[in-house]
Amino acid sequence: MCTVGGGPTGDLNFDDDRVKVKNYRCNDCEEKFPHVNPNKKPICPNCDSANVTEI
Amino acid sequence: MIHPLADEFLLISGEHSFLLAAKVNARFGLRIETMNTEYSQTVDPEDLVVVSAPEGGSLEPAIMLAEFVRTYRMPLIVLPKNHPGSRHFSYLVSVWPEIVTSCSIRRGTHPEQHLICSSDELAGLTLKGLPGSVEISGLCGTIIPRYVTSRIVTELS
Repeated sequence: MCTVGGGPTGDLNFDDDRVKVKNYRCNDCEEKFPHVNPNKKPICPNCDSANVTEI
Repeated sequence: MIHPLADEFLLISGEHSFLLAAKVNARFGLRIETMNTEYSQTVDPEDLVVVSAPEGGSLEPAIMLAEFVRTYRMPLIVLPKNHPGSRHFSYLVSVWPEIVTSCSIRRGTHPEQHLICSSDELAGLTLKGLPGSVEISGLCGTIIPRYVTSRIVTELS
């Protein structure tokens, strides 16, 4: 990721259309989130649980 | 070359620019906020957070930015292309297992998320996070990375 930081950071060229995501739901806190790295197991950004399900 | 790295920072300084690398040392979901939506990116303890200052500047903001991510887990706020405020940001952040510096890319996020903009003098480096260390390749022999430690002291009265 190449982001431009000021506080904490911004970005100049983050194109939503180019970002490939899979959507997940946390089975512990029910947070729904799109995950951007297919090479890593998703973690809930709300509660850090790895107990998530792809939706 | 492999450099041991725990909680401290590794500073790679050129004549007019620098990179600051740190291990994330935690596993969590890093939020990325854009104008339209938000994403989550899993980061692992061995991953790196790298701050690039292509025009140089003070070291402390780079340290703070790295700590915002790895210690305080603050979301990355993403500005859209051509946002008027973007020219005021002179520090770039990358969070990924292996990060390559490049002076030929526009400042911005690549979907592959392994590139970080740098000055030409620090372009072509690869920084790879390993358990307890970072491997740096492509570094000019005249540039010797240095360790940086920092702590924030807060006093209430």
